[in-house]
Amino acid sequence: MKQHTIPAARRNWNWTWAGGGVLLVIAWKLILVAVVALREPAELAALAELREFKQEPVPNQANNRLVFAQDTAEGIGIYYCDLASPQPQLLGEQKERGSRGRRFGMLGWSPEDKWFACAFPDDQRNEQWIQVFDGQSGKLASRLGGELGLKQLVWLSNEAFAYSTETGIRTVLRQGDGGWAHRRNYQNVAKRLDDLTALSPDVLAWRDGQRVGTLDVGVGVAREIWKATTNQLVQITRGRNERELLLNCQDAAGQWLYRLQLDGRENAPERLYEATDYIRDVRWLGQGISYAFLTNAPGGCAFAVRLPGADAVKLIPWAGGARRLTFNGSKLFFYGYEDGDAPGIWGCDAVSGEFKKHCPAGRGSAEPGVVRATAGTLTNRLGQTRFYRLLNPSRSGDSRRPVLLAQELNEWFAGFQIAARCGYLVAVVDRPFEHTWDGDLPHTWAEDVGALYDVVAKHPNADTNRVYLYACSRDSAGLSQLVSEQPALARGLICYSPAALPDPARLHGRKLLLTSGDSAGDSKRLRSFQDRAVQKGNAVTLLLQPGSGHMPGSGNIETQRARELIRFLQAPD
Amino acid sequence: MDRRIISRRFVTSAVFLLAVFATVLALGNGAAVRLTLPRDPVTGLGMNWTLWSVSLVSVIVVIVCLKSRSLQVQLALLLWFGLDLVLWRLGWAWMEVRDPANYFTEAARAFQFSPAWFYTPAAGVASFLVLMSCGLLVWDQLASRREVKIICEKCGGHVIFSRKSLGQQLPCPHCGHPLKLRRPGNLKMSCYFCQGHIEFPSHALGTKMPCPHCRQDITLVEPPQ
Repeated sequence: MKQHTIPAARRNWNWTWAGGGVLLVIAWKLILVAVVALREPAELAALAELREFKQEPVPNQANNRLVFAQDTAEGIGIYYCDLASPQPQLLGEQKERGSRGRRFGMLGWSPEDKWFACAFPDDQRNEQWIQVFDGQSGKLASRLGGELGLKQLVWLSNEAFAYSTETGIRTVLRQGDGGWAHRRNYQNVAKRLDDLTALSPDVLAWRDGQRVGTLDVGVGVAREIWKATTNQLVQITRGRNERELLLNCQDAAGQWLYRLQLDGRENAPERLYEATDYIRDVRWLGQGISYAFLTNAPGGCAFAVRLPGADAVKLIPWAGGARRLTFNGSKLFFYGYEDGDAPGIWGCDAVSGEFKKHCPAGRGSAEPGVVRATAGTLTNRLGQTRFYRLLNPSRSGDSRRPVLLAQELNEWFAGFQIAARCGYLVAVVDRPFEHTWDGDLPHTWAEDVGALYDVVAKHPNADTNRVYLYACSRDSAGLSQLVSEQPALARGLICYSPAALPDPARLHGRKLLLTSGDSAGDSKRLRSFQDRAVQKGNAVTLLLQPGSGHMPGSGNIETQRARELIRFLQAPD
Repeated sequence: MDRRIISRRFVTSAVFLLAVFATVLALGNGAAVRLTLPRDPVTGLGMNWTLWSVSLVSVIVVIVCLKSRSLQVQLALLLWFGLDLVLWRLGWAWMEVRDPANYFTEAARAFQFSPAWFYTPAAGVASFLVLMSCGLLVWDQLASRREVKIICEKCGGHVIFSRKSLGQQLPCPHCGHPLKLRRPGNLKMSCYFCQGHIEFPSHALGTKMPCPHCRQDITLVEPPQ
């Protein structure tokens, strides 16, 4: 005979097993969290926490103070920095508002450094405020309501400034009581007003597509003074109070710098410099023929400077990346990084060629661990020469490592350093500058990165079975083209705010990381792609960041992207 | 080994595995809460909602299994849950999903697993539940035809024995009271006084009560064979 009831003790045993299962998993997860936290070097976390700089740094006339924009935790802040003191002072902050919000505008310093000003949009109340600060103390001196469509600001004198909207210009004058008030409103002076600049206290100039226009604010007459006919006008710039402009033009043969003098020779610009590409951030100082721009070089990039009185352009090499160049007197300021170091705002004495880091990007205690790059030259599939940089993490010895391939301007991007810190062999080919503006010239992403793959595949540390491709925004069209042409090349794809995506039917067994802001308007497209790609056998990680637009507008959003990238790169296959 | 011991051990292991399964899904899904997961092609819901639902149902199944004293209920519930998981998988196959493991990418990443290493044991759990619970239920059904279940007249404890043991007398495994193994159902006897027909359950043997016919006090005794 056998007994077959369920004793109470046995039932308790079942509870114990069930509870044990739950505790086992929780313990396992806690151990994993602890191991990951201990294993992740502080340098990697510091890289993810670095705050990006936005817009260009604006030095005063004496080059001893700076106003610059940098990510804060929740938005973008405008900082005032006395170069003698290491701690920048936050003047104001615009919270991340995705694609709905407007960006602030930088007015910079008035003549003699009496004032500096910035425009802050207040999206909550649908208002725009122009704030004028005291140039010596950095204290707020006055505040003025501006037009909602405010685009650019420019000082006319210590007592007046002007700002542009999409098609018009308004002038603002200082009042007897110390306040500021709108004076004149010039509507419909252009179809699209860019590169607003003051040629004199009375004359403003701007770029309107392929045309250059001027406005005499005294008489209120706008006129077109030049039009690009044989090439494309990329940018105009000027020297303070000089009646001449520097034109940065481009055609199929390359880039050209012209000096356009406004006194009698308007229609015959003088050609100053030419290059096949890579003339970026041209700054015109005037004082005879003096200008500076950023170009690329095999070991990183270079600042091309023509100082007053000099006959030729002087190249100052810079072992690292740079962007947002400003040129004031004989001093250059830029956002950038030196190879092996974290980014910051740098200054360069154009005469001596000496560099100095003024404001580091990191505010934390841990130093971000930056992997040094080696540079090389390759020829793409169209026969064009490109420079590339290779980040090879030294800690990995002789083992084969996954590879990350990308094309970018030689600027700081924390993602590349993060990948290198995660043990990836990172190779980045220089993106031609012509690809960064709204030119009609064809992009060569697929040709450049395809050629980069051919080079990196020969590297002894490269694991060609684990090749990842990175592209951001419009570059993802090139990435899609390369994946379509060579479906077996990449194990994974990393696309930030992708404008185009590969055909999911051509993907199988791939790992994808897609990130975008949920205010960018492409969430539905990305979700649909994710559904189809996963159904076709791909692992797709989709990060739609709430409150963010096409490109991140706050430190937290950048950090969230970086943390997801770390997670993606460290995930087991 | 006795099938009930096997069944009980299976239920214990199933409860343990489902507790692990539910916790892994919940923690894995919780770790991916900032991400947008793909839609489940079968339900049309986001995988995060689907995984929360599966995790919740697993917890309910575990709790019901722990609370229930009936092996048949436990086995049937486990079979139902296992079949649901199998049908879910078949739905994916019908929707031409090439690699279901990719739907668990984020949950797997939370535990430093590759999707395949995460998905394969989960599929194994579903198969284990279906095969074992189905097999044990069939075995139980077949075996129950050869067994007899009675209640001890002293303590009320359930006692199951093989039909071959009918007629033997043994102590009750619960209370030690001598117990005669007999067929289940009511016993019949005649009243000593009025010869009236009396039918009573076996656990009432020895009880003194008035005869329902003549109201004389009688003791319920085992009828003569």
